[in-house]
Formats: sequence, structure tokens, C-alpha cells
Amino acid sequence: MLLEVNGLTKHFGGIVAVKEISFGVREGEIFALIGPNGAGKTTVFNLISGMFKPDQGSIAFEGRPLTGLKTHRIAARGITRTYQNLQLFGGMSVLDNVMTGAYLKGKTGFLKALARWPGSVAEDKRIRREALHLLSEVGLENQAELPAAALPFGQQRLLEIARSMAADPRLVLLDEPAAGLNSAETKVLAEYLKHLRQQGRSMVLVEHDMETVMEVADRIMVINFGESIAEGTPAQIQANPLVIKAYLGEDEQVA
Amino acid sequence: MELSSQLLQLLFSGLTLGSIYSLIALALVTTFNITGVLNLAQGEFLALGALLAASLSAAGLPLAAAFVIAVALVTLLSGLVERVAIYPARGASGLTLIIITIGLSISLRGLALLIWGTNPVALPAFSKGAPLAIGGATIGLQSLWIFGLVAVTLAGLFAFFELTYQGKAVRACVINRTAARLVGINPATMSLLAFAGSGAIGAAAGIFIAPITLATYDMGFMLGVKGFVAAAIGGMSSISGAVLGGIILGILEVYFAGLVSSGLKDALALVVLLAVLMLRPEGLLGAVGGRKV
Amino acid sequence: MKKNVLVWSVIILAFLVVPLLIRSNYLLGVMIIIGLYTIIVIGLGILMGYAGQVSFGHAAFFGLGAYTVAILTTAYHWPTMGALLAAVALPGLVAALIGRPTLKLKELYLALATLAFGILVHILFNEGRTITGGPSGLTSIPYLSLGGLVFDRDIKFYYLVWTTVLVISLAVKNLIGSRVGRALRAIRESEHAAETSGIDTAGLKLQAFVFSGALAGLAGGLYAFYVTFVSPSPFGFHASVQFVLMAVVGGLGTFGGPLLGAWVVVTLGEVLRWAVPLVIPGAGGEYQIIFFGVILVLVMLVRPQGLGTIAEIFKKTAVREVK
Repeated sequence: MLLEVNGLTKHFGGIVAVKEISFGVREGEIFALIGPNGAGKTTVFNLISGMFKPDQGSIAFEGRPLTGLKTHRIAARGITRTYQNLQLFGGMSVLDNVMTGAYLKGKTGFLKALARWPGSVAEDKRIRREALHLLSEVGLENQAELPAAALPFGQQRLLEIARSMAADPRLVLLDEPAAGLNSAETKVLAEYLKHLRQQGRSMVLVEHDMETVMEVADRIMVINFGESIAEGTPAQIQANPLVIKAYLGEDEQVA
Repeated sequence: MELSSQLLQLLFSGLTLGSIYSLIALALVTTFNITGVLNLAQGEFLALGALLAASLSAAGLPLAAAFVIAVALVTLLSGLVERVAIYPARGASGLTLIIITIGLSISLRGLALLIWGTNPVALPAFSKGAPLAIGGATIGLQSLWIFGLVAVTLAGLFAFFELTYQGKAVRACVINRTAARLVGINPATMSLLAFAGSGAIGAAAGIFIAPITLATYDMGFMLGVKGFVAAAIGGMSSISGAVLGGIILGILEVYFAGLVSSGLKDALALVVLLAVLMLRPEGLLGAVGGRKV
Repeated sequence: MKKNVLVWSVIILAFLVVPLLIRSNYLLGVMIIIGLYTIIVIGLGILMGYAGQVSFGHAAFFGLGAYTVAILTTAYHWPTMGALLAAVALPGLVAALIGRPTLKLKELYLALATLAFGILVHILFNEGRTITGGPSGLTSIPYLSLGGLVFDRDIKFYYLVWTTVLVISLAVKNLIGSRVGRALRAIRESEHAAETSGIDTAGLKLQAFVFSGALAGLAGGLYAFYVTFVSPSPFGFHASVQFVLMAVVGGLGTFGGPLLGAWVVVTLGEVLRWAVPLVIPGAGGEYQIIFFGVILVLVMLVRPQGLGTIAEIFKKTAVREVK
């Protein structure tokens, strides 16, 4: 297993946000976490990426524990993420966003940057080339110099995903990448995710758009009120009576 | 004087000074929680109140009249300042707002310098008479006036926040701005009220301390900083914390000045502030878990 | 790009030629001070405009640099160059020590903590009589000598200061365009996303703080060699506020901002000092102070993004039109 989550629990005040969640993500797969709003999916992401500390349970990545590490250390171990409510560097250019995403691939420090060390110039050129390549994959190569905030919403989503890929992470956590996208944009997104999987990327996907989830996910786990209620392939999940009940309890948004 | 009575004497001075810090701190905390603005010009309200009252009294007005007019003028001024400089910047970053209040502080201090010059101005004590002797130490009558002011201010704030509709509205505003607006409370009015109220409390505190310290155009700056130290000790979110923080700081400072070094007493307050911010930013007295984010 | 190089070449040329044309020691002195403040504001600009952290205590680092030079050269007879290096290192070290706990604080608390630190250091300058000379300060600081070159005249000092400004500006330009510069801007834009990109935001903020403290120390060291005398008064809270004002007026996050800000604020101060008594007879320094306060408020109300960005807006519209 690439990522192993075991008995993860997190309380906020008296409320249990996540209760004894366990799952594993295999190398090269798209693992989806689904469930009604407020089920605790984003909390799971925040726990994995080190923004919150779990009350109980453990997270191991490539066999070594992640628990207690700071977010940037977790990123250095090879886990990056996107955000449900987009956290782009809005005032920076599209290209700079992706190049910043590739921060971990560089070595230039403060003093070498001041001195424009020859090695750091070469390093920046390489990172720039790779960033442009990533942008071309999401069709943003012509907008490279625009401020990220100037992009239409759908392209901002794609840019954030491209940024999260820039450091060549071993695992990417995608938090509702299809939220706010129209159906054409969602199709582009699904194709991009499949393309990334083909390149061997591993991903955990939190998503409400069931069509996309069923199309791209290899395996799915359903959580409700912070607890895991089912796990399996898309076909198994669709046939699971517990899942149907959980969703019918919410509303009819399941496609 | 014996050591024990000297220590008692210092305690009385500390309580007096601490009461003034308390008043500044509670004005700061109230403004901060209602408007989100950390008002670095608060100390200037004290200086202006004290200077105005001293001039009015020197012009022959009875002390009570000088007090009322000076407080009224500073209240007006602080309200005006809020309308002109704070309200138009509502919604700006905390940094922008703090720079604005620093600019206000500099402007008001310059204004005071322009009107009163650099010489200290005296204000007569409120009541004539010998200090009270308690346990070998004495306590000046002006100190008693100051304790009285703290008591009246606290009672007034309590009555306002707990008993009046307006006061409850302000508290609602602190808890939830959107909800407050929904029930018809206007945050803009609250912000004006907070500043004007802080101006009144500040001016009163300045006038009450002036007979002891004299009034100078630059007395406000360090007083304002001390008020922050007191508020930070109290955790920035509660009035009782601010008052306690002020008393603690006043006593600490007076003992330090009396027993260690008077030149470094201001340094002590700053070291306390840094220590509190770094070690317990929720304040020494801040309620655990009760902090607003 | 070419046009930019041209503009800057003209500016640099002007700096070279101007002191030869104006034979006024007063103006030369003002320009030296502008240069020294520019050095401080460049550092502060990195901290505020890129890392998004504020400091209301930078006069303390400026003063620490000046006192380091004064004490090492007069009491310990250090070689002047060694003292100048120490004036960079010591404030940098102090910044590292206080920055670690301080930079964890959020906006308002950080402002308060740096403010407290600045006033505290100023009090220590006044009270540390045996070391700092108390309010009257330290005198008889020797001239700075670099190899055989002794900076004993204002014109020499002018070239030294502005060469330093140029070197630092170029270095900072490198920094901003680098991986580190992007990371600093990323912290300002979104600290969460910066962390998930693998940026050690706390560590990088600390580096920016140390860098800005060291630059202020350098300016202080140069200042001590220039006036050959230090006392606490130029290093108080008012100076810290002025540096923030310069950074803000010049435009945060812009390359030319620090120079513009230092120039505007110092010139304005000089003009006010000279012009106000003409309009209001008998007026003293108090008008200047009021104006500073009012200007600070006005800038924050009307253009919190500073004057420097006006130039950038023009540039951007021009680019768009070309497209």
C-alpha cells in the first residue's frame, strides 16, 4: 500500500468529525472518498496533509508514519493536494503558480538566489520548462503570463491540479475538483485525471459529482457522519443498499 | 520608613497606576472586539482629555465643568476620527487599520504639541485634604477618585451591556455580524459608538491621573502601549481580563521601579508584553477555549 | 524589457552625475540619508511586500547596527570594516532570535510584538549608560576605511551608499525572480497552499526577517560612520513608523518602491520643514509631525497599495494595448 490510514479519529469540541476511518491507497490508482456534505471527507484530507493533528489513529506513507509531521514536510514526502475552495496564488502568474508548485524540485536557497548562482539559473530554466509542459497538458500554455486570478473558474481548477502535480508527487489529494464546473469542463477534468493515472500518478479524490467518480475511480469508500459505511469498486458501491440509503437520506443529487 | 510599610505604599501606587491602565485596556478591548481595530491612538485620548481639562480649569472654570467639557470634546473628536479615518477603511486588512491608527496617534500628538507646547500642564487635585494613613502607608485622595472612576466605568459598562437593548445589540454584533445585521443592528453605528465611548473613557482617565502626573502632549503614547500590555495579559477578549491585567501591570511596574530600577520600568512592561505574546498569546487570564478566532 | 534597462540606466547615470552638479553639502547629506533609508526599506519591503509580515520595530535593527559600529570602533578599536560586518551580523542574529517566536504570531499580534521590541531596544539605548553612553550617545567614531580608501568626505560617502543600494537592489531583483522569491510571494497569497507546495513557511519568513534585520543593521553601521556619532534619538518608534510609511508609500511588492518611498518621505519631510514656516510664521516641528500622521492616514485610506503600483498599472495597460 502507498498510503495506509488506520483508525483515524478527529473531534472538534464535542463533535466527532471523523471516527475510526481506515483505508489504503494502492500505487497508481484513483481512490475516491464520497459521502454527503459534512461527512468528514475534507477533514480526512486535512489530517493526511498535516493541517490538523488526529486525536487517534495513524497515517503511514510508503510504510513510514506521517502523523505529527508539518504540512511542508508531508509535501516533501510526496503528498500534495488541492482545495475545495481553491487556494491559488491569485496575484501570481499562471506559470509562477506551477513553478511554485515545483518548489521541492529546486534547491536554490536565500543566499544563492540573491547572488544569482549559475546553478540556480539552470535549475530555474529546467523547472520553467517542466511547468510549461504541465500547463500545455491542461491547455493553459497560452495563458502562462496572466495572473491566476484572471482565469475563468474552470481553468483555475485545472491550474490548481497542474500545480499540485508540479513537484512530481507520489500521491495527490484532490478535494472536489469538479465543484463549480459545467458539464463540458467536468468532462475535460475527467479526461485529465485519467491521463494522470496513465502516467502512473496515484490520487485520492473527494467528489460529489457521482458521474465523474464512477467514471474515473478504481475504488470508492463511502463515509457518513464521519464513519466508513462501505468500500469497493464503483459497481459494488452502486449496488450497496447502505450507500443508497445514506444518499436518499440526503437528497436526489446523486446522478 | 519600614520595609513593610514601604511595600504597602508601593502597592497603593501600583493600584492607582494599574487602575488607569485598566481603563485604557478595557477601552481597547471593547473597541477591538466590536470593530476589529487595535486602536494605537487610544493613549492620545487620555492626553487630550488631561490637557483640555487643565486649560479649561486654568481659564477659571470649576473643575467639574472642565471635566464635563473636556470629556465631551474628546468624545466628539474620537467619534469624528472614527467617521473620517476608520469607517472609510472598514473591511481593509488589519495591517492597514493599524497603520491608520498609528497615523492618527501621530497626528493627534502633533496637534497637542501645537496647542500646548512641550511644557507640562498642571491640574489641581479633585479634593483637598491630607492623604489617608493606612497601616503605616498613605493613600492620596486622588487615588480614591481613580478607584471610583474604575468602579463607575465598570458599573456603567455592565449596565450598558447587560441591561440596555443597545448594549445587548453590541454584544450580538461581536458574536455574529451577519446575524446582528439581520435583527436590525447596524455595525457602522456600533463602530462609532465604540470609538466615542473609548474616547470618553480615555479622556476621563487622563483627567483623573493628571493631578498626579501632570499633563503633557506626549503622555499618551506610553500609556497606550501600557494599555495594550494590560489587554494582552487579559487575553484581548474580556473586560474583566483587561481590568485585572491593568492592575497586575501597575503593581508590577511600581514594585520594579521602586525596588529595581525606575529607568527600566517601561522596559519591564514591554518585556511582559513580549513574553505574553510569545508564550501565551491567549493571555495569562484568557479563558481556555473561549477565544474568538 | 529593453526600455526598462534604459530607464534604470538613466536613473543610475543621474545618481552618478548629480553630486557633481549640485555643490551643496546639505543636498548631498539628504541624498545620503535617502540612500541609507532605501537600504532599510528594501529589506522591509521583502518582509512586508513579499513575505506578508509587518515590523514596527525596524529602527531597532538600524540602531543596533549603528551602536555596534560605535562601540566596536571606539571602545574596542576594531578595524572599521570588521565593525561594519559586525553591524550586519549582530542585528541579523538578534532578528533570528526574536523572529522565531514572534513570526508565529498573527498579523495584529506580530505588529504589537515588533512594536514592543523596537521601543524596548530604544529604551535600552537610553538606559545602558556604561555601554551606549545613555541619551548623549557615543562620539568620535572613526571614518570607514576600505583598503587604502578612507570615506572622510560626504561625496565619497555618497558614492559608497548608492553603490551599496545598487548592489542590494540587483541582489533583491535576483531574489524576487528566483525560486525563493516565488515562495515568498506564495506565502503572502496563500499560506496553506504554500505549505502544501512544500514551502517551510515559518523558516522562510524567518529568513526574510533576518535578511531585513541585517540590511537595517548595515544601514545603521554606515550611518554611524557617516555622522561619526550616535545617540538614541534617530532609532525610536517614530523612525520605525517612518520606515513602514516609506515601504507603503513606495508600493509594497514593487521593485522601485523602496527607493521611491524613501525619496518621497524624506523629501516631503525636508520640504515641510522648509516650507511650513513660510506659510505659517513661527511654526515649528509640530506641523511636520501632524503632516506625517495625516499623510500616513491618507495613503492608507486612498491608496493602501502605495504609489509604486500606479507606475505598474500604467505599464500593464500599455502592455495590453500592444497586444
